[in-house]
Amino acid sequence: MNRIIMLGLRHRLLLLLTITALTVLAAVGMQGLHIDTGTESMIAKGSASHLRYEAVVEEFGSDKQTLIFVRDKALWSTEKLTYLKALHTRLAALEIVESVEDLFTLRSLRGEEGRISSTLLMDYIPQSPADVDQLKKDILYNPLVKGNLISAGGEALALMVTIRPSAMQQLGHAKVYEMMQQEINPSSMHFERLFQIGAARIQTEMEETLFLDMRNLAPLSAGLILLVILLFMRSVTAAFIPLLTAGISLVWTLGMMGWAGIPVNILSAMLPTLIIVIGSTEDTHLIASFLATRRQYPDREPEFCVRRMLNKMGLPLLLTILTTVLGFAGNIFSNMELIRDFALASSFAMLANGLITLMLVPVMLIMMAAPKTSGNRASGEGWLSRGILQLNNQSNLSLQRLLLGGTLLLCAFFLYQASKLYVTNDPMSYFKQDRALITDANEVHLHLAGIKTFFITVQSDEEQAFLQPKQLRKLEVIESFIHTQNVFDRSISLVDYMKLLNREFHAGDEQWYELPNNKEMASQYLLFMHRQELKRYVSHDYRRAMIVVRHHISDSNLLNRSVDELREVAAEIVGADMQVYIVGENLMINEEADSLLHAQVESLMIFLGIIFLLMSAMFTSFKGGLIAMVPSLIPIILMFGVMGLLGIPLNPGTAMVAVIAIGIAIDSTIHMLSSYNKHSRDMGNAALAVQKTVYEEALPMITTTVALALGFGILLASDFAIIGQFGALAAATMLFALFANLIVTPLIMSRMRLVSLYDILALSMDKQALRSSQLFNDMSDYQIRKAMLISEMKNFQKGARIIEQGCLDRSMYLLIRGEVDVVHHAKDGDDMLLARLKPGDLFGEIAFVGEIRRTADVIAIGAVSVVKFDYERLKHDLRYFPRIVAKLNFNISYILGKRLAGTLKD
Amino acid sequence: MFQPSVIKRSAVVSMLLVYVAVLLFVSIGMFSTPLYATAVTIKHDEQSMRLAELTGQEIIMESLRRHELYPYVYEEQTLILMDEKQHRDVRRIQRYSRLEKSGSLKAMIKFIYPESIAGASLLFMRKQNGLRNSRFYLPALAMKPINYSGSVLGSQMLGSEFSLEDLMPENIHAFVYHRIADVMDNDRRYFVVQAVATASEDIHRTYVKRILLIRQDNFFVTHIDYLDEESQLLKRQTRHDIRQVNGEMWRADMVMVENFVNHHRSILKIDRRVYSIDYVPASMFEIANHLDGTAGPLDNARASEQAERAKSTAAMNISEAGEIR
Repeated sequence: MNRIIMLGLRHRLLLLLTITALTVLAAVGMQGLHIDTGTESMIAKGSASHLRYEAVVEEFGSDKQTLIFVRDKALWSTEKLTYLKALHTRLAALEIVESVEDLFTLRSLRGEEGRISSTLLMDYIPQSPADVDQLKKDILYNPLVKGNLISAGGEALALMVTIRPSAMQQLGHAKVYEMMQQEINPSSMHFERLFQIGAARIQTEMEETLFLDMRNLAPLSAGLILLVILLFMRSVTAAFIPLLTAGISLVWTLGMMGWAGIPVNILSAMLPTLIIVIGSTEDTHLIASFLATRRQYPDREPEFCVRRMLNKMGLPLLLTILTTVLGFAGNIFSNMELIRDFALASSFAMLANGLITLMLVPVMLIMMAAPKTSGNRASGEGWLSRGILQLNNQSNLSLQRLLLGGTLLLCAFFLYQASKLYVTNDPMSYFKQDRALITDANEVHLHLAGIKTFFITVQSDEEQAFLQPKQLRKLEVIESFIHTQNVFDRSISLVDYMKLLNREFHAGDEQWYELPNNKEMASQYLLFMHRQELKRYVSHDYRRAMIVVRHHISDSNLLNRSVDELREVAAEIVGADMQVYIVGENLMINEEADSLLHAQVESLMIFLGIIFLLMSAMFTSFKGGLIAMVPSLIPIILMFGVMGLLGIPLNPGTAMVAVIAIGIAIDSTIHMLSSYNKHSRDMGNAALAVQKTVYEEALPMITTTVALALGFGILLASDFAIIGQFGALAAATMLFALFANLIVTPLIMSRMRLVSLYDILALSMDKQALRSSQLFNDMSDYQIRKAMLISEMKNFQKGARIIEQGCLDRSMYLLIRGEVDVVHHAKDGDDMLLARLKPGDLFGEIAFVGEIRRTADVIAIGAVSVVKFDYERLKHDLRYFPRIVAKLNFNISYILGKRLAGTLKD
Repeated sequence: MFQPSVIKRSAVVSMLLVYVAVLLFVSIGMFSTPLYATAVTIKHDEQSMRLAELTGQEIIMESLRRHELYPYVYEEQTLILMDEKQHRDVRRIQRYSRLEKSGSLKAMIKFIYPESIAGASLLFMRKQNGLRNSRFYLPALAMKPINYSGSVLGSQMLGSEFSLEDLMPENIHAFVYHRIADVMDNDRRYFVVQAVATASEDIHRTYVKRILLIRQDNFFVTHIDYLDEESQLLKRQTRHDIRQVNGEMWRADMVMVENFVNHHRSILKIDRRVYSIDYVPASMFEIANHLDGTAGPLDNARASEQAERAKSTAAMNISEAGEIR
């Protein structure tokens, strides 16, 4: 493994050339980048509901209309109406506009005794105030228009513009929005309020915000990382290297997106920040290790320090890169294109950044040859590490129990809070609530119906079904139910037209505001309607009818629940001979919220599962896997609890926090556990090993966590609410993970010892000496190393007494290096040399097998290395490895038997 | 592959068809037109007319004189409504029109298909001074005809792209006609006349502006563009299957209106046309007045009964007309 890690170091020029070439290639690929802020990426395409939606839109028209909102206290004057007409004319004349539905195009049917008139709601502009007043009354008389296109008081109205789908595709939403705005602007001065709101504006604003975020957030993050690293590490080199690696990674990522056709979406706005912030952690770990080595070996050249740094950090770093990549890739199977694309781009970014860091940073450190004076341990280290250490040192058993108990209680409380979590996927909720777009949407909702629409389609096999009063009545009952639900603003269907016609053909008598009694009457009334006016409500053959529902709900949970209820009731109303479907783009986006929740749980479970397996493999035991999970689970629970407590919804942004944050936080756990293992093996004392680990790891851990938390916090400056929420939650989760790693993990660590995979891999010993030892006869390399690693390595100087005759202990020793004498002290004072042992020989095995006093001294006759096997520890740590224990026991028995045979022979 | 025998065969068949068509045309002309051709004086002084010097007004007057002044016309029509997705809706209509000696015009459009709207009728009257009145009779309502009023844009006739105005002879009182540059199309020269609503006319009840293309050889209007105040094209009427009916009189057997705002089309096909006073008796226009009473939610049975009666009355009138023929 080290050969791979050292590869860049060995071929520096080739490495630099390769990185340069790949960066140029990526820069070329960036030309192919495209932006997608469309709502389509928030929908699971190809699903049954999506196909049904497309069919409905094809038949009845789109639910994506642009609403031009006009409000003015003096709206009902000849002057203002003339301006309104001019606005209508300009909009209708636009090539991109398919139709404009407003007072100038919709029909007014007005019945009086013996006569009926059919005119446009406003086919001409009256010239006298009295006529204007009359017109206003006439228009407000129409129940289909009042509260829908015009406010109840008449001070606000809407022009509903349908944009040609081809124009939207060819020109893009930004151009369409601009063209519309160009026609609106000349009228702006004439009305108190005049604005457009619809898909074109929403997508344009998303795109603008995306650019703004990408432009602002990246420099902010870079500046912040620079400051934090300078503050904690006191090294200019250390501060600039992460920015360089992040810059290259960003180019690679954007280049890959360009080549692969992955669009830049609203979540991509976070990418530069994420690369800078998360990427810097790996650099920080490497540089911290390098600087520490420089301090330790002040006279050695930089390359020596870099090699030591890679030896120590290379493998853990590879593993942390892997876990971070897995964290981001956790959402790669999401149904939502938006999340899937982001998962692809971000996991690539993390991989690229990790590799660039691992390859380039060592070379740069050598080339830049950081001065020995730089990188002094920051003064902060003193109080920070001391504080943590003090907390750990003072934590006697009862305090530790208290801490663990407190953590458990905290987790229980936050788990309860997490139950209040709600999900939303409404695109309007992506923006901050004080944004003009949102306040405009609220204003429309206040005066008219909400801007969001969905359709209820009822389908019959019977010809001209919806000319039959019996079937029309079903639509009427569904609409009544919608009214009783009291969550949607407005519904309109053929029924409303029929009732209006019936009333007006009966001189406007309110008691006739009901459905016609027979098919003939319905058909004959409809002679007065144009197909164009009905096309949104009934199919040409009257087999399919549609109820258009407008609303202003942003809470996906409420919307989904209400729609589910409506779906159920509607199905019951229409009966078995008809089919009812509720469709709408807005609805599908919100329905995805449910899948968002499921996907979140799923990806979290998969990720935790992978982490568990990885950690189990790494620590070569499931117990190790479980322990490594604890510092991950605590922040997840706390994060969901905070979301529930503060009412932050689960949305495409926040849904990714758990997996991503844990993917990052697990890095610290890995560093912590590996460091602890090393110290534990060296020191042979768990408590001391924990202390040393905390002392060593606290600073880089706090540095990286603070940097990460602040970096994620930068995302709060985003104009997208979901990115701000993501940033805040990720920052909080980082801090929760720090708490778990510094407080909880040491408590757990001090109670057990784990053998990590890279300890095994890194163990370098004289293989021949080990293999030649009878103790390891017939054992595999892995079994030997595993057995070795639950032991302790001990070094002795010449003359040191490794075993003292008469002592009582249950350790046996394997001689690795040097020679020892076995000397028996007779009662009469004579010393007798029993044996001189060589590497591979075992001694102290009798006391190991049975609790008896030592029968001889074992004295080093030079510098000696031994592996000490403690009976209790072997019994405890290898209880899950019965095959290894069995082989060791067999070999010890063989050695003992052979010794016995030898004694008897003597 | 070129196959001379096939070409020859098809040429012979074509000639036979043309021959049969000419025979039919002559027969129809013989049976249906002479009675009235003599009754109306049609001044014909083409030799003295200098086409180039004609004004817009004169062109329209000549067109009307030639083609629209036949007093009694009965037509069986098929109205095809097509939306922007080419979905079709077919209705069958009987149209009666009668030009009284006083110059007033009466027309009745009566639906006979589909069944659910059979009997629904629209009566249109225009006095010599241009005053208009239209009334509807809906058998399902079984009430007296309802006076119907509406602006030209809001009153597209019965769901079609035609307005009532479009189906009636030109109302010369409502417009001022200006001749603009002639055009050529398919080697045929056309007058181009712009009709602008007069200031005195209720502008909201008629078109603001129209451009008419009139064939110079027969003064037949083949093409009308309807424009709004901004001169934006709203819809276009084109006339097809034009044939000479009698003397200078030509008629189109198919009229199409294409709406450029909603992209719908309406096609009116004349399946049968009879010029006969017997087919258009004065009583025909009184039919709606034969009925009275009102229907309410509680007396549906009565409403249905009256509707049936109305339908049978209407049917009876038609069958009587048929017998006369």
